[in-house]
Amino acid sequence: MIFEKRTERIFLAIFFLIALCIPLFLEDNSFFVGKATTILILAVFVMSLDFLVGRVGLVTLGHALFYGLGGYLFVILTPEYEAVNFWVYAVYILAISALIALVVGVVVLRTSGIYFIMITLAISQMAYYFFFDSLEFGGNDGLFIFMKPETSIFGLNFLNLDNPTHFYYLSLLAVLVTLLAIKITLRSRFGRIVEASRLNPERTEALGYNIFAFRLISYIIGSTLAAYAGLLFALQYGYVNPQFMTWEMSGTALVMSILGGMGTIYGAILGTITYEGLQYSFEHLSEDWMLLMGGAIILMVLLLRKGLAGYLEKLLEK
Amino acid sequence: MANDIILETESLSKHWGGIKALNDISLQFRDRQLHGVVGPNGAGKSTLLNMLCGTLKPTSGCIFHKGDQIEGMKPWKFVRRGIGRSFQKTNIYADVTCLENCAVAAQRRFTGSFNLFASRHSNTLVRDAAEKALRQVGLDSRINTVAAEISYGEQRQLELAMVLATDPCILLLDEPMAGMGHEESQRIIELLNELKQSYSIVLVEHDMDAIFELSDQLTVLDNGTHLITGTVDEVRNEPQVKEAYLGKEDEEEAA
Repeated sequence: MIFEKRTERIFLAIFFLIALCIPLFLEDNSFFVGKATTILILAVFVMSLDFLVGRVGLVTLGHALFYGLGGYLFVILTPEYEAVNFWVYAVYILAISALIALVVGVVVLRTSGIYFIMITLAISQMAYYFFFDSLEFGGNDGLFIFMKPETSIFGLNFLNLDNPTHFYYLSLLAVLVTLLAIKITLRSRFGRIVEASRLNPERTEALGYNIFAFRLISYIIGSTLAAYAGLLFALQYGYVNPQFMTWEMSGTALVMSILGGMGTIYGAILGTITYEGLQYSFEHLSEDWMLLMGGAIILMVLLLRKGLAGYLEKLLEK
Repeated sequence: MANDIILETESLSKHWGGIKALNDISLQFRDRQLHGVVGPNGAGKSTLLNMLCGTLKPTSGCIFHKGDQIEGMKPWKFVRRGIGRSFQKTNIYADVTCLENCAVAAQRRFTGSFNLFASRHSNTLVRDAAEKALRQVGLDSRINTVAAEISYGEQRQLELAMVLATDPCILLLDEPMAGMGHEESQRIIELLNELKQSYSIVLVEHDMDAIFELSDQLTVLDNGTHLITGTVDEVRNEPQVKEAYLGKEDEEEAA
C-alpha cells in the first residue's frame, strides 16, 4: 500500500470522489469549473514543491522557474497557427525541462541550507528578468497560445482542450499521476535513501551513498512535475508571461504546502484548496482582503503546527 | 589473510591554518587485529579517524587501502571499499525503526538504490542483512522500535549495527563506549572481542581498561604527534607515555 496513513486514504478517497463529480453539478457554470481546474493545476505544482521541500529536504525558493518554463517551452516549440499533438509535445517539454533541471541542479545542489534558498531564488529571478526583458518572448506581456493542441492518441480523440470540463478532467488526471509518481518514488529503494539523506545527510554519506546524486535526481523529478503544471496552466488560460516565474509564485506555493502539512504530499492538495478558498472568500468580503488573508494564514500556521494534514491525522489516527 | 596490512597511512598530516592537528603520522592497520588509538583530548584521535574514513582531507601524506592510494576519494567511496565508521556522537536516523536504520546501511550491498519503482520493503536480502546486524549487537528485541525510543546505550549499539550492516572489512570506531554504564560497556567489549576475529578494527576510546584489554596494537598520540605504537605491554612500559598521558591521568584521578 503506497498510502500508509488512514487519514491519507480517507482524504484522498473523499477528494477524488468529489473532484470527479464537480463538473456534473457545474456543467453550465464554466467559471467555477475553470477555477477548480486552476486549483488542481496549482495542486500539482504545490505537490512537486512539497516533495522537494518536505521529503527531499531541498528548501527551494525558485520552484516557479520550472512552472514558467513549462509554459514558455510550449509556446516557443510549437508553430503559432497549427494544432500540435498535446501528448507528443508534453513529452518533449518534460524532457527539456528535465535537462534544464539537471543543469540547474548540478549548480544549486553544490550549496545547502540558506545558501540553497538564495541560489535557487537568484536563478529563478534571472530567468524572470530574462523573459521580462526579452522582445522575442513578448517581454512583460508574455506570449499567447492561439491554437490549443489536439489530444488524439492513435487516432482516438476523446478529449477536447477547448472544453472546460475536458480540461478539468485532464488536470485531475495530472493530480492523480503526480500523487502516484511521488508516492511510488518515496516508497522505493531510491526513496529510502532520499529519506535517509534528509533525516541525516552525514550518516547517509558515511553508509556509502553519494547523496548528491540522489538529490539531483529528486530535483529533476520535482522540477519536471512543476513544468507539467506550468504547461497545463498556460494551456488553460492561453498565454504565458513572466508572472509565472515570480518569487511570489514560489513563495505562495510554499505557504500552501506549509498550510497543508509539509511533507505529507496529500496535504499539498488540501493546502492549495484551502488557500484558494480563503482567497476567494476574502476577495469578496473586503477590499483589504490581503490583510485578512495574511492574518488567517498566520493564525492557522500558529494553531496547526503540522498543518491541516497534521490536524486531520490527530483526529483520525487511532 | 590474517595480519595482512589493510589500511596504511604515510606521513599523514592535517593542519588548520598554523595549528598542526596531526603531524606526520605513519601507521599500519592489520587484518583481524584491534588497533587501539589513545591520547589526551586534542591529541588528534578524531582527526585521524575522520581522515581514515574520508570525511576530512589530509593536508599532506597518503592513505593506502589494500595497496591503492585513496586519500583524495569521496567519503562514500571509502565505504564502498569496506571502510566503515561509527561516530563519537550518536548519529542515527532517530525517527525510523532500528530495522530501517540498518536497512539503509545494508541496501547498497544487494540492490540498486536508483530503482524508483520497486518498493523498499520488497528485497528480503536487505531485511535479512539488517536483522542479522541487529542480532550481532544484541538488539533483536528492538527491531521494530523507533530509534529515538531506545536507551542511549542501545543507540550506541545501533550505531555499531549500522556499520556492520554495510559489510565492512575494517571498522573505524570513535568511542563506542562513550557515556555507557559499566554493564553496557562490558557488552560492547565482549562484542568487540568477537568482532576482531573477523574484522580489522581501529578503536579510539577513553576507557583505558577496555582498550588495554582489547588492543593487539596500541598507538599513543599526543598533541598531534605519534608517540609510540606497540603491544599493550610495550606501550605501558614506555616512560614517555606515562609522562605524556597516563601520568597526567593518574594525577587527575588523585586530585
